[in-house]
Amino acid sequence: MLIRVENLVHIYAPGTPLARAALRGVSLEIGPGERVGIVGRTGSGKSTLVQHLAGLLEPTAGRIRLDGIVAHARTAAARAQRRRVGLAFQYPEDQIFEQTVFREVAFGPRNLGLEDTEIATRVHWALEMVGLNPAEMQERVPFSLSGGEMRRVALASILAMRPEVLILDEPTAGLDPQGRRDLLARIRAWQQETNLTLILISHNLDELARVVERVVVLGKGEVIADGPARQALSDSELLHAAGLDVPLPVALLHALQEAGWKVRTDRLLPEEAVAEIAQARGFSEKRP
Amino acid sequence: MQPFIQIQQLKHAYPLESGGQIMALRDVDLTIEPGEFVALVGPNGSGKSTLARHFNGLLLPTAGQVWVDGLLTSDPKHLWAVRQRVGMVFQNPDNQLVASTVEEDVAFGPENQAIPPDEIRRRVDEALRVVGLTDYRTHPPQMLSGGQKQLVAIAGALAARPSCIVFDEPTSMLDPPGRRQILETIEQLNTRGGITIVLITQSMGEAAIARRVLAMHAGRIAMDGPPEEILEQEERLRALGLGLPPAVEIAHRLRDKGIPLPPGLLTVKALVRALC
Amino acid sequence: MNLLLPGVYVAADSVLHRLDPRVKMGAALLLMALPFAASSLSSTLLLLAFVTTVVFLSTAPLPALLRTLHTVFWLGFFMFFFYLFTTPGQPLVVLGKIAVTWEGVLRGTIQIYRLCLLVVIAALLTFTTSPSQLAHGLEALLGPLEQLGLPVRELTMVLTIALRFVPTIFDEIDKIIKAQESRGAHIRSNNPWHRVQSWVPMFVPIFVSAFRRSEELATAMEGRGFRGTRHRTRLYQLRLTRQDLFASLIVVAVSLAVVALNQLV
Repeated sequence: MLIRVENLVHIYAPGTPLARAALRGVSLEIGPGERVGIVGRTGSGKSTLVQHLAGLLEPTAGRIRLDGIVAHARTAAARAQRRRVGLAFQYPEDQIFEQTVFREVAFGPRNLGLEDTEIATRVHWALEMVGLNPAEMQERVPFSLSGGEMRRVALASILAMRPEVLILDEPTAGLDPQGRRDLLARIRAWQQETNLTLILISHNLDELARVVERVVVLGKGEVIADGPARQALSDSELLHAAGLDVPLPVALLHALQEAGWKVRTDRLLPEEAVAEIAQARGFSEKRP
Repeated sequence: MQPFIQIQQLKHAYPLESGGQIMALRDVDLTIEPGEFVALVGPNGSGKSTLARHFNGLLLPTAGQVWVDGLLTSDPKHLWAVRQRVGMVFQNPDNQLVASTVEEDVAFGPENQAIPPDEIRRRVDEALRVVGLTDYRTHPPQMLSGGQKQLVAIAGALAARPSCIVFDEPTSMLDPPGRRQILETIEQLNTRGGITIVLITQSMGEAAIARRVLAMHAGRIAMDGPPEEILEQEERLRALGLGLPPAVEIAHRLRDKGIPLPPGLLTVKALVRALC
Repeated sequence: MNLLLPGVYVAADSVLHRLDPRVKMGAALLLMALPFAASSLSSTLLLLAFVTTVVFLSTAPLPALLRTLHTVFWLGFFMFFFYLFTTPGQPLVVLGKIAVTWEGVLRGTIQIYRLCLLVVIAALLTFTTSPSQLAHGLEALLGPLEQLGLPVRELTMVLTIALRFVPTIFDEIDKIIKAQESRGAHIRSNNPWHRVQSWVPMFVPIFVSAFRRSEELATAMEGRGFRGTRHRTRLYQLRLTRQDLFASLIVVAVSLAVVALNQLV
């Protein structure tokens, strides 16, 4: 699916003393199969933007086109397009309401009007994708599960709708380190297996660096930067101006560069930074 | 000097719906001296939150004893004195603020202690000054950022003039700027205010700022020592379900490549200094 | 996303803001009762003049105050037309069997006047008195009922805490609605059957969250030494000043004058 954001403006509570411009004219294009990270401080407009992508809000001005069709229109065609986009809010387990895991995960597919057999297949598949054993988990009460398990159930309920575009808002928030690693690996796997378009909001640029290939930086409702992850996530000045922290490997390489080392600073992952440092050390030791 | 917190053979059992029970804490022995800055780490289910709630008597032992400043927490006569000495800041910034303005919330603790209004006023002003929120005195909570809400919670704890504050994952629901604000404040409370700190955290990078790290596993304290020592032991930590602070991970990888580095490099700054 | 509730408190330093909430609440009740006791022209004019003066003293922004009347627009509209057509008297316009009478116009206007005055006085109260002050005032005024066994302090504490969480809960409701909508629930649809079906996916998460919140809050309160509302002191003390006495006397005097004038036209 091709997503086109055209000069999107969103003002909350327009015309009142509490009016707030969350988006001031955002334009960008996301193609099928892309892995995009959206970063920015709290209040920069990230959540508002992705809610528009999912067709949950009406723009104050501008529009979003999903494969050419305006997302927020009240037509059957627009509804059909919106169904292809899945959105997981922060702490998605807050939306759980059913009495069994099966029914919770089946909620989305049921709303799509699918046959019972298809629903069961999808629920089974979605649970496996999040690392839960369907046979064990299907009949359990979601509220009796651990926080991490509830998170997985919530994500499964969105995967079960087989979205072509998957938007995740801080998917690893509140998980322990093991849980974070596991979930990120799964997200990568989902993307690879189904070639879906992945849009990830995260404050954790170190994690983002492992998953996305392109990063959009938002600041005060505008796009400050939009480019390959390697570029955007190593631009210290830009990220600091936007109120963000660079990934740790980048911070390390920058500090070494300032101390006179000849190193590249666009190595985002720990292993890349290590290789870069080792190379630079080897080089300097060769000097007579 | 008398230890501030002394725990002997502490056991805590939670009853299960199906009957039977689960041992959240098994034979914990622990001493915390006044003025210490302790980080408590461990995977989910290791018992960290349960242990923390024994420090101020929110939970009472199934077996064993917990003494706070010489007072036994399970003695009903001493419970409220214990709660005055040990304050607590929780994970969810919203679900610990009760009042409709900042200063009224900070006053909640002293109000409960029936402190005279003039003294409450003094303490509230002082606590807000310490956390830097004096200008937000009359703001309602919903106008504050997550980090600011946690600062209000800290001010609220300070207003009771505790000797120790326990922080239960105070930054896990905050964004990076909020996180930094809180950690800086916590450090200052310890170094400048002399307040004993217990910081429960999932982040090994956060644990690195403490001066003592306790790693828990299955209801027991598995490791206990200074961060330079504890946070270097990769194999042991991974076996307990934990990881390394990101800087330490890089240091280990560099050593694997043959670059000699001393142990105990916990931050980027330390790494840079060692490399140059 | 904030709901602009009519008459929301605006912090300022006006004469009205500085008055004791008990005085303001008592005065509001008295003034709200007056239009029903006295509707002659002269008493109405006096009352309107007084209320207008009070509005200026409160420094409440006029457009915001007028916006509060919005909430009763339809009620007022239907009331006016109800009285217009159903009051017997001298007919002005006749439409078949229904007549618009002069008495009807008068009656309708008086009812609208009463309604508007109620709303404006209530809005003035909430504009100039913070939620916590209102709770304090309520607690003090209802205090004597403690003797009858009514848990006034507990109730006002519950009220204060509930008020504090209203915006938080609104945001939560918004998020849940959007989350379920993105899973295909038709929460905001025009189809009433759809909306009913959507109650469970909307209410269950909110209830669950409310329970969790109460538990965390209770734990936090206990950790901060809360053991019931007895023997608690307060940061804010309600103290009656000379201005409060003065204001009370003025309100009583005006009320008496309004009632007296009611005997005239």
